[in-house]
Amino acid sequence: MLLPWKNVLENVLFPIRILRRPRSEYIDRAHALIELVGLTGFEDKRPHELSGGMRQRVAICRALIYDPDILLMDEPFSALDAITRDEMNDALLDIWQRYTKTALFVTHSIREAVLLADRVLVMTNRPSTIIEDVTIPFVRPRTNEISETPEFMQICSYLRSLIEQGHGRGRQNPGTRATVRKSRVVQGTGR
Amino acid sequence: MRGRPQLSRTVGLPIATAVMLCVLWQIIVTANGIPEYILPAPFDVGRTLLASLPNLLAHASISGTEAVAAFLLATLLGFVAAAVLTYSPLLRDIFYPAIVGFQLIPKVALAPLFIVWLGTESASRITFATFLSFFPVLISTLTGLQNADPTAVRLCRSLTASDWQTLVSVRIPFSLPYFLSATKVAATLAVTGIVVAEFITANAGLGFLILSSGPRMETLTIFAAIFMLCIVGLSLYGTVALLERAGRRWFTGA
Repeated sequence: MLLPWKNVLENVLFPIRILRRPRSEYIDRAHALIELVGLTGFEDKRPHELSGGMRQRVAICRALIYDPDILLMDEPFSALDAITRDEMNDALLDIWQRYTKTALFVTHSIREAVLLADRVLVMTNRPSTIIEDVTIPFVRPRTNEISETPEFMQICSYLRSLIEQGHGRGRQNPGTRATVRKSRVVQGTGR
Repeated sequence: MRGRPQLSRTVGLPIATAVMLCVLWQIIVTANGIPEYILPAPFDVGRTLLASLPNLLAHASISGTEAVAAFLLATLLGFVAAAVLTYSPLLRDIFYPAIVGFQLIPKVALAPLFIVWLGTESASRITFATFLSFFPVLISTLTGLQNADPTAVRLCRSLTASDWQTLVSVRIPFSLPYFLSATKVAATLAVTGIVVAEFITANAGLGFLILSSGPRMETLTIFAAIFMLCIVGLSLYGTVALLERAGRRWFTGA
């Protein structure tokens, strides 16, 4: 969510203003982040002039500008189309490569989880419980291409079976219908 | 896609309609020989308007100044009150029902009370007009402040923003479109309030002129005064509407 009356640069610098940090010290960092997500030249644009993916990228820059200890991302790309989502995953991998920031990332996409994470925590719902903690072995830097490898698919199908099991258990609970929400896959890209 | 409608159409057509109506009015009055004290013809109204222009302008400037004062007071007070109520749930619970209650009663009926309490000077007229136009600003701005995008408010909280920072940097900008729409209503009500108050007590102003011309059957003067009143109302409304457009443009950048 961006502030509609602020341009890209001002949206990215918004946390700096709220935290009352000296703006001049963060201008360069803001431009570097904007460049990293491929939005150089859009600094003066307003949110309504950007596509959904571009807005999401600005929001990521805003989250990174004040150098937080951890990034909490709750289904950040769920509203984007598949192609934009791939692009965003790539952008996030780039960002991680540059800043190696720990992120707690909630997603319903198994593929996204395996692609981005070092550790995937599989959750089931009602009650929300972590049923498995899987370490993802792929080396970094990663690209989208690793998703074509047999290893990748193997991990995905393993996770999928865990989720299905989790749902199977859920169905035996009285009052839990078959239309329960898909289990969440939680992952952290750790340092 | 159709482009911007032609200026000749968006401006020319309404003017043509107004001219046609005046012509029709003139024809009806002349053809039926309607006496001037019942319904004067537009041509005669125009003549009176020009002949007594200095006098009309003097009255108009009194009403206009008071209306502008009331409008500014109402928008300022309405805005501040909305900000206060947004940040004090206690005050909101105390006053909000009363505010809604005031919205429901015909406030014009309270005009004589203002005269009783505040006297017959312009202060009481301005206070009444302010009272009349204050509520729409308050309620609309309050709605805007409370309907600020919840994710933006959460963003502020996650950045440990103070209440004041959230108000200034997120809530107020988000409430701006609501506030600006309300100022247009307030502009209309401020003029209404001044005229009503002038009906009750005044020794100058367009409301006074209209009321005092009635018993003397000076219908021409009434029409000329109404015309001036339209000018006053339209200028105030037009200025506010222009500011509103500028504000909206700032908000969305469109």
